[in-house]
This record gives sequence, C-alpha cells and structure tokens, in this order.
Amino acid sequence: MEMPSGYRDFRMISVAHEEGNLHSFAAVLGNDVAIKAYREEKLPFPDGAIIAALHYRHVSSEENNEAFGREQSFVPGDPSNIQFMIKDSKKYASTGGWGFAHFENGKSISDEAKIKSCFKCHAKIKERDLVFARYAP
Amino acid sequence: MRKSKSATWFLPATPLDAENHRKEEDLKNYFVTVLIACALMASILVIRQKVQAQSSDSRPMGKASSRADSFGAKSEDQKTSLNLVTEIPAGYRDWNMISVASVGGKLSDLRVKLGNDVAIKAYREGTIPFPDGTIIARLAWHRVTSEENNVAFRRPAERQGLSSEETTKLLTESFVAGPAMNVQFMVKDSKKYGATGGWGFGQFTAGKLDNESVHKTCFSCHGPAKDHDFVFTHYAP
Repeated sequence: MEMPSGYRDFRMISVAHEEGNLHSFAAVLGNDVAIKAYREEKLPFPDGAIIAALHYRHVSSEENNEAFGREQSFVPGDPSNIQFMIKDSKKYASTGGWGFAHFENGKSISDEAKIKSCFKCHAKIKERDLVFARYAP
Repeated sequence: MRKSKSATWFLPATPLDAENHRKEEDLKNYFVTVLIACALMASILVIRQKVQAQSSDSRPMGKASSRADSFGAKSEDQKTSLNLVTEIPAGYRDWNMISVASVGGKLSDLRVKLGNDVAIKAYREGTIPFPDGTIIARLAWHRVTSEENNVAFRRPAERQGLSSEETTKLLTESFVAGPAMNVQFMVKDSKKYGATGGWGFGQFTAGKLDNESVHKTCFSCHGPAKDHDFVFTHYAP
C-alpha cells in the first residue's frame, strides 16, 4: 500500500497519549470523507474514508515546564510510525472493508503477520466499524 | 396697493416688455439651479453619513469602543492591556494540526494545536516572527481512560509478553480525549496587539469568553518562549 498523499493536511479527529510503557502520542487525522462521516455519525464509514494515526515518542518539554513551574508538560518527540486505515469494502472485504498499513521513516512495513494483528485487534470494536478513535469536539 | 404688488409677483409675466421678460426668465433659471444644487448637496451628506455608520458597524470593535468611550476610558484601557480576542475565529475546527500535547498534574488534559493557513505556512517554512493574520488554536479536553479501547488492547498486550500487572499499568496510563475543557486562541496583529508582543489572547469555555482575570497571565506566561515569538508549540512532522 502506498502512503496516502497529503495526509498531513487531513483534519483532526482526536488525540491520544500513552504515558505508561509506550510513551507515545497519537494524533488521529481523517480525510474529507472520514471527517464528514464522523460529524454526521455515519457508520459504517463509506468507501474512500482514510484515517491516519500519527505516532510520536513523548518527551517532557523543558521550555513548557519552565512556564508551568514543574515537570508536567509532555509534547511529541520524534515520530515513531504512521498507520493508516483505508476503507474499500470490495478490495479489503476479507478484513472488514479496511486496508491497514504501517509506515516507519516513510517506508511501508508490509509484514503480513503485523498487518494481520491490526485487523485482529480492530475487529474487537465491530460495532464502531473497527475504528477506535472517537471524534473530539 | 400691497395686495396688487404681491399679486403681480406671482402672476404670469405679461409680454409687455421683452427685456423684463428675459430678466424674469433668468431669475427663474437661477432659482431652479440653486434648488438643484441644494438637493444634491443634501443627498451627498446623507449618503456620506450612511457610509460612515456602516463602516464603523463592520469593524468588530466599533460598537464596543464607542460604548467604552461613553462610559469613560477605563474599561477600554483594560481591554487594550490584556489584548483580548473577544470572538471565536470561524472554522477553527477545520484547521490543520500543528501538534499535540498533554499536561499532567491538576490539569490532566490532552491538547491539540491547530493553525489557520497563515500559521501552517509559517510553521512549515520556519518563519519567525509569525506574520500578521496568524491564528493558533489550542483545544483541550479532559483526558480519560477508554474502557472500550482497553478491553480490546488487553489480550494483544499480554500476547506481546507483558504480565497482567504490566498490562494493567499500560492501560490505566493510556488516555484519550474526553469532554471538552476549553479552547484558546492566539491571534497575531502586530499593530493592534503591539503591547503584548503582537499577540491577542482569548480563552473560551463552552463557546463563551472567560472572564478577564483568566487572561491576566497569558502574555507573561508566554514570556519564556520569546525566542519563538511567544509561541510554545513546535510543529510535529
């Protein structure tokens, strides 16, 4: 799978933060089809929907902490990976209509076992069309 | 006698004397010209007044500042020194993402910074100071753990070799955006907000501008980021 072009200009769906073991930030962005479906609460997502999860390592921000007066501010550090879910109910019929992709340093990790694990985990949220991220107002 | 005199004034001129008749015609023409000129001037004045009234209405602060003038200068001075952004910039939820952040402690939030086109262009080109017209939006939500996510993540986490305790730790420290907390804006206008580094500040909770005391620390707190034009947030690739 090719990296969808212009994904960095997609609009924001939501944000997540894993402070425990992974020390990771996730910014979840969606293309126009995805954003429209989210705002209209349309499930399942229509074909053409693309959801991008931009993951970053989390770092403590010295600059910000100076302003807050203590260490409590975390910001994204280096990007760790970018994951995509692309809806095409025919092409990806065997995985709930979604194609999954994982990129590191701009390169696709097309390890089949890894992609299979994507679907396996996302299949647990079937009632939301395999999508974990909810729209943040 | 008086009656006949006044009567002759408006009676049609008799063609007894051609010279007199010509003089009367000249007088009539003169009055008509003066009348038209007066009407023109009056209408120009009315139009000018209307245009002035419209342009002061279209300025966002026009009404507020004239109100402040009539109540004395004090409230206007306070507004200037705080440099409040009093209206939520339209369409901000559709802007591109600059970065994300999380603040722990008492705030315990998740944040996203969005920028309008001017802001995003400046970030991507590394332009500092930010040009006039830049708007940066900071959206904050209470961070919450997601039960529905954690139910799904537990098994895969354990499969990857994490103990049950480690998995629980992982999941209880995994946060998503919950209810909205507030939205803040920084608006760049180097003339209008000259006293506060060229930035206007505004915090809105549930769509309403928060009270003035909230805004007293905006500019002073942004002081440490002076080298980055008072903006803390850096662009996430």
